[in-house]
Amino acid sequence: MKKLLALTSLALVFTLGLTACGSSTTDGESDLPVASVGLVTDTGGINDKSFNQGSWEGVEAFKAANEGVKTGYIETKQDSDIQPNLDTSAAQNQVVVAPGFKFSEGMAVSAQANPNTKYIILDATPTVNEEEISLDNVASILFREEQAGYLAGVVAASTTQKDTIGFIGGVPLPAVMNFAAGYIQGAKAVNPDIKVDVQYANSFTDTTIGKQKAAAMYASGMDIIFVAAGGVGTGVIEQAKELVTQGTDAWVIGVDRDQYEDGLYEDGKSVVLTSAVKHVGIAVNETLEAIKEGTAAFGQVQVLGINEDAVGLPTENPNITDQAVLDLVGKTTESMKSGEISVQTSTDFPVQEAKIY
Amino acid sequence: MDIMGLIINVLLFASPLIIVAMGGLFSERSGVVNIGLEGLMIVGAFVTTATSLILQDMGLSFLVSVLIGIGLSVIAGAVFSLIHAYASISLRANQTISGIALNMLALGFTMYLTQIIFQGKETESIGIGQNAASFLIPGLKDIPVIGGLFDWRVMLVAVVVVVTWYVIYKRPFGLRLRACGEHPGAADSMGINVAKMRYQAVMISGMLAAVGGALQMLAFAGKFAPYTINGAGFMALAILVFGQWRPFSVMTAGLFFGLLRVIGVTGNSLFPGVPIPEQVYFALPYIFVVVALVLFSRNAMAPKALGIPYDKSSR
Repeated sequence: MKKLLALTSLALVFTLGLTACGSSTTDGESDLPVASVGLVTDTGGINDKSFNQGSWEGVEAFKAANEGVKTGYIETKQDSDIQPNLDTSAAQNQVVVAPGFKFSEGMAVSAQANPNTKYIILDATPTVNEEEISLDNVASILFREEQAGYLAGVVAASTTQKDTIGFIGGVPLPAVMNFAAGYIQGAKAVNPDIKVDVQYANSFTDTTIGKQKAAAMYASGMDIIFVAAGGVGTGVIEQAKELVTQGTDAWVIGVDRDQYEDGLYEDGKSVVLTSAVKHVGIAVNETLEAIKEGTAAFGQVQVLGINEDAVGLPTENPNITDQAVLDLVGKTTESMKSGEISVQTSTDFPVQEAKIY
Repeated sequence: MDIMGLIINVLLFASPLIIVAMGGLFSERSGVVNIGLEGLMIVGAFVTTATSLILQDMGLSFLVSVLIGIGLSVIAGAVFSLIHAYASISLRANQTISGIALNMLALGFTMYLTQIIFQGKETESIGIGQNAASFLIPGLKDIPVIGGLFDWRVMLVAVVVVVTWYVIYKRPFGLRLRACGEHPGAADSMGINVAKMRYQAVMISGMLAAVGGALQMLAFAGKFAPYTINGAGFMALAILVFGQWRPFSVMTAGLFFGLLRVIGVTGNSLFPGVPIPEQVYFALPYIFVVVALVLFSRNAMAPKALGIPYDKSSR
């Protein structure tokens, strides 16, 4: 028995020693602190024109700026594969990037099982049984949606010809409600008397709800709707196109990415006025740089906003033709950066209830 | 939204569901449960979108490309439904499981093709928004007030309902079909080929469901994406049961459900100032359907042999 114990402990020492060696020398190219980066997409795929694609662009930008870095991605085919895919990517890479809230649960499991791998999760935090947890190899990045929403509100209030503007949210989750809170504050900053009709589709996928809600809202006398509701937005955009081609004014403000192209209808004209954008690529790139420099905030939730250029409006807004509006957006952005304007989140500015604010 | 706007929205919402429910009616009246309607709709929506986008690229007009797309989707729907027919009729597999398999296969397969053909998880828009006016029937659309009702998407569904009623109740084919769904043994003893009848019924349901999928896409999303159909096939199935497997009842049930649903979604814009929470509006259609089912379920008459594979030896 004693012999066995001695043998076992000897074996253990050897194994530990070997692993230690392994991680300190990993191949010849490991003089780089971040030698390989892996991305795991959600079921949307790598070309989703949204979070997956944006994150991948961030990874590629990091690769372009840092010679010798290897990158690769795994496309998740079904939600149950998320955690295995994270593990696979963790086995091959030093840093694993996961875009979106769907990774919360799988991330917690995978990050605990692979303590030597660094993880970046966007727009979410790792959770166990829906409880947020903090892991010292996971960097969580959230976005200040309310700041992007504020700018959208400024544009909407200074463009509209009516006294009410609209908002359609998906499910009233913090990420969606923050957009609404910022939108209302931005609109009221331009015109204190303006009314904002806030509605929720209670879905991120039902295009029928989007189209019907938009039809009713435009008909009740609005000309701008800001929609933060995933696939529901497709229905809103189609309804706007239908009205515009019949000669009624109808604008849509897009979300998460520049949706201008989605709104094209004829001769290169688009119904998308502007979009409240989350620059996930910039966030991913900056976090990777921070990991390289050793300054990344692991175990913490980092909220990136307009100061980091992580949220805002697209650089090109062909539909905002009035220079005064563009100037106002520029001025507002500066004031937000300097702290002159602080935008409340939905925690301090509740918008859960669907009504006219 | 004025009354006409409301009616048009109800018709646009209900018409794909009704045509799909008619497809389900053929299949279920012959004794084959078709849970795969959702999958067949997905196939129809995909084929129509892909065809229309490719043909528009080649210079064809919107309307022509859509019509050709619907034509091809009918063929695709019939072919795709053969999987269900083969499994549930020839192999006597469990019809519910076979239908679910069809749904999963349809979404996976069409997403795979979308990825290959359009390099993305969704296609671009085929342009229903800007071309909405081209769905209106020339001549009739200029009638004041009610002109907007003459939409061929709606007319097509009305025609299908009438034809379904005629075929099911007035033609020998319909009589045989119903016999296979009520008592296949008796039908067989009278010289009807039960398997052949059921194959035909399932294929008709595939065709109609595919057209329904195309109409659903043409009324709302205007492109093919994982969320284009989003459960409409199951709603059609519910309407079929709600309408008790009878064509005109199914149509009424569809319109009723559509009306409640549109009011539910647009309630607080339709009645501004009425202090009813949005959630109440959202729950409205489902509450009414449950109440209606309770009221009418006493006379529910599902085909007696529904869901039971026909086995000659057990006659």
